[in-house]
Amino acid sequence: METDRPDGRTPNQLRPLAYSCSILHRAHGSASWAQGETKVLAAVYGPKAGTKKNENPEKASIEVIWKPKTGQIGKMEKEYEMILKRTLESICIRTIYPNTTTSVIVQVVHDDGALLPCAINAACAALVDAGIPLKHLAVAICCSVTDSGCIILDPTKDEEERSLQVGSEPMENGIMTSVTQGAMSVNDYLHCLERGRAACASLSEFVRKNIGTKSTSEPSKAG
Amino acid sequence: MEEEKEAVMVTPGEVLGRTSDVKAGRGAYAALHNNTVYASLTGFRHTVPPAPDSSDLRPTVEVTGHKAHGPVPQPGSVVIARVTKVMARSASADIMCVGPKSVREKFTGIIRQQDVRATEIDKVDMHLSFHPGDIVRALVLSLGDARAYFLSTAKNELGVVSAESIAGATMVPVSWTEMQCPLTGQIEQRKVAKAAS
Repeated sequence: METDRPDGRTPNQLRPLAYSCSILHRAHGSASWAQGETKVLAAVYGPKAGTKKNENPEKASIEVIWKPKTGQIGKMEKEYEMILKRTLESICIRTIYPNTTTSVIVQVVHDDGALLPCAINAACAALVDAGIPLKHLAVAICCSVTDSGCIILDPTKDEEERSLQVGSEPMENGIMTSVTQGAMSVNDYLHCLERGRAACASLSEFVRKNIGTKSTSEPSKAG
Repeated sequence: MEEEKEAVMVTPGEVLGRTSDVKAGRGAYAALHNNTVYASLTGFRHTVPPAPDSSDLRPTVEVTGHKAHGPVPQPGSVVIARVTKVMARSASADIMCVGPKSVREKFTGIIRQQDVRATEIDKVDMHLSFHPGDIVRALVLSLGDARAYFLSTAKNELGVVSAESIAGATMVPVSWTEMQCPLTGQIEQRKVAKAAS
């Protein structure tokens, strides 16, 4: 089922992707990720000495700090922090440096829909830039079910507001995190996963191609 | 087996081989659930042949040429630290270098009374072993707690490598327990590290 989207995209079409790394000089790793008008900046500091709060003699800790574009951090941002923390913990090899903490700061530059997937992609790219050992890369995509029942990928803010159901799935050889908002049928959810998996394959290719060429073209950050 | 002529570009999660064929080196890890070696960093894949005297004939696959994070103190590593506080039973120090590399983040270490020297550990006077500002070479014993790593200077080559006298001059070691100010000639007590010959 085709649907007319305000920006002229097809339901399966993603917005233009833009990625750059090592943009902050004081951070150990940094990356900016843009999907259309949605743009997120991520910075990584660490591994650094563990805190009493994050003390774990067997594993390293990941700390996520979400910085909204304006105003104070709210319930939604706290939830995003939690989701991001769990997702990043599942891709990092945390047994190498136990009792250390790696801080990931996510700054929202502009939100025009699909913010959480954009933040996951930015954070993952920043971890790669910082040289943090990862089990694999994570890529995230956002699917939305419109009122007419059509599934669209990478919705804008307007499209998100017009459609009640939004699912966000970062996946790499399977789903790591799945976040849904609103009510949807099981069939709709499974269709979202199908579409998301296909989109993630192309997104993963983009990530590997760009991260690979940009990371090795720059001098080593080894201490 | 020769080292690969052309380095292949890899990113985290890319398969580097089977655990039956290769060993995981730097920038790689072995997944036990499917016996596969994956890359954990972005860089170039290199295969290092096994040592001639090694019983394991598998080559080591590693990822090199990547951006590395700052060094992290680990048990067994030798560190250079600056003493910040001396107490009756322990001394605190800020770790500055791990091996030959300087740290990016601040790591704190604690030298306990029983870890200052190998002999007569119950007679150690911390105030006659270290002073705030001293640069010490120490061995990381363990992770300690969330606040600090446990450090040891209980070897001849470990201890104070550089210290300032009250007059402000860098002192020279005169014995394993004493350092002398070149300006005033005053002798001060320290747990001195044996100079590398």
